[in-house]
Amino acid sequence: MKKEKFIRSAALKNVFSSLIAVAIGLLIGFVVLLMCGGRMAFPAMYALITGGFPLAGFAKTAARICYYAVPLIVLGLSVSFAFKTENLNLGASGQYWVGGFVAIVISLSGYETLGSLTWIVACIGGTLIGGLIALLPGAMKAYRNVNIVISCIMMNYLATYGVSLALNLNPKIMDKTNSWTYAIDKGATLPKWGLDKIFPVHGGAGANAGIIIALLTGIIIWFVIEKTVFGYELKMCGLNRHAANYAGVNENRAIILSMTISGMLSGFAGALYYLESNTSHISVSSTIPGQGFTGMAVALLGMTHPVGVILAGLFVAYIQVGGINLQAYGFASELVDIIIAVIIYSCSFSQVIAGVIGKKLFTARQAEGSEGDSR
Amino acid sequence: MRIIIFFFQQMLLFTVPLIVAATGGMFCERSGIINIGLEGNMIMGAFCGALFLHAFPGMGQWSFLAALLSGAISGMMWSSLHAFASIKFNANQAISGIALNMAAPSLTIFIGRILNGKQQVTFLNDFRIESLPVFSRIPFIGDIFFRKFYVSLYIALALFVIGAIVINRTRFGMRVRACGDNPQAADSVGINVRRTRYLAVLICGAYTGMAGVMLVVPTSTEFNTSVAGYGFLAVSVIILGRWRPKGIMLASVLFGITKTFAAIYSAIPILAGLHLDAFIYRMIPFVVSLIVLSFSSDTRSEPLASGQPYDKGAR
Repeated sequence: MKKEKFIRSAALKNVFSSLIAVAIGLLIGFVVLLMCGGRMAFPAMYALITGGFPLAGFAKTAARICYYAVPLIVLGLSVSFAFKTENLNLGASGQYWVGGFVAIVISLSGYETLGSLTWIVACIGGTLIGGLIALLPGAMKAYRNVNIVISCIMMNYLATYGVSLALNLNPKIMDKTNSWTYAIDKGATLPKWGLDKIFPVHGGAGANAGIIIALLTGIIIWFVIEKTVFGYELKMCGLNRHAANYAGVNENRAIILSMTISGMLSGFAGALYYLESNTSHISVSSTIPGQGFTGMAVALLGMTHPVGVILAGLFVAYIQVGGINLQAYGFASELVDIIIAVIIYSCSFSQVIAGVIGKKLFTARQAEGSEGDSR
Repeated sequence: MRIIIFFFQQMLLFTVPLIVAATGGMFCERSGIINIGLEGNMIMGAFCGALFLHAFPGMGQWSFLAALLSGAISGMMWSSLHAFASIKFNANQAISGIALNMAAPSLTIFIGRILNGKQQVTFLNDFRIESLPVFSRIPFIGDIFFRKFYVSLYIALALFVIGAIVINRTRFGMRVRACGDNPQAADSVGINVRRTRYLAVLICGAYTGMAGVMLVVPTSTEFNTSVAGYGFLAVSVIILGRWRPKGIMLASVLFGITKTFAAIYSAIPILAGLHLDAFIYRMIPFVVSLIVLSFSSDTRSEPLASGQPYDKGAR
């Protein structure tokens, strides 16, 4: 009986459907490799799945994974928070980009006055601006009934172009030769919190306090959603907004707040990622950064539960680090994007498949059981 | 005067793909399937059209028409993935569309590098028709519509008119609308809801694939993994046009005008004199659409069953 209950439980179904999605993603990635590369596909796929551990050594790879996982986990938390009210925060990319930009600007211009507190101020700045950007689509949805998906897409473009505009207008921030932001001061980056001791490679290879902060954020978000009245109201609005309205929940407030908090998390993710000295820079760009969409993959893969999101974030970071090695075999590292897209695609219906399979298992067992009874 | 004519000619180049993509998207949305994946469809269509032109150049207008056809076919194939997920598997339609949007550019980079050695697909653009014999003599209108134009302009108008007639005046169109508003009622009178929705999504794929070719070929000589957000603009054109052909036409012209400013501001003396950054002009279409959406959003004209997977047993 206990076993049956376990098989029917939602948690198992969720884990199962995520695994199905991942399997489909990797399988299709492998098929694409086979079609394009023939025999080279096998070592390339091996490098991808092993995450580059055999090639680059344990400490360096693990540190890289920790570093890549930070924005993914926080973005995943952001998307899943908005998802609690059935809103899809597609604007995560833009919020992330502007959050990172503002954090860099603060640490470039304020390091002399703020000193070692710079990274905290920069994180707060990035968080606030992310929330501000997400507030607009939320308010437009609540008061003017504008489709949130569309307004978020528009905000993505505005954010990307706005950052490029700000870079073009401020020569103090922009490194003209590469048209991206200057590297921030060593003292203004996130502290290491001992992670460079755990991973004894040059400068910790990017592993820093970010991963610890991301895990703490996950715990806080879990607490807010599961253990507070506010979180309960948000979930009510998502599950049945008419019932929530009837029970006295202010629906508009729930939408706006969930979007704003989600945007704050996205901005925070950007700040955490870009406050590292030798990382990719915020640059003049006319294409939307893809990180927000990857964050959505993480949220969906993690079934919008904080624990799931943390695991999914680590997994996607693992695949991304493995994907860097694809270039050694003559493949574009965009394969990782394809795999992630396929994972999102299969996430959109993998719960249905998992439900069908689970039902079959259950009915088979039930049939066995009833046979036993009749005997 | 020359600038005005130039402006209108450019505007047509930017409006045509929007009209076609939004008309296609209208079919999909009216049948009750939300399709955010228009961008991905356009990318795949443009990519395959450009590949075709890269491989078989030099057949004059015929190769342009063939490129449009290959765009349509690839758009249909790509959108069938969306149809499969959202109709067969009752998927969350927004998520499936976004996934397809994400996959399309990466796939074009991947395939392009393997076929071509690089992600850009270059092609020869010699499809511009300088002038049409008699009609180009008409003052003003002749200059805009019959000089320095592409065949795609008239194909697009034809596609729009056909689309408008089909959705409003034919049995199939009525069935599509019924499936979008009340699929259970449609099913009860013998309409095959799933098949109608499949057809609508495939029509959408063909239209958007062609729109991708119509965007990339006249305005460029290479395809480089993106269609500059046109698919997303087309989605907001549909919402702004309230899911009706006439509205879609008006909304596309509005967006076409703002896009034109972004593209040719440096050729207009007054605007060039302001010395504003290019990104300001690029932001205009999105700002305008946000403002217009917030003052005209009207859910009464939205298809009632929009975004809901079809459940036979639901009431």
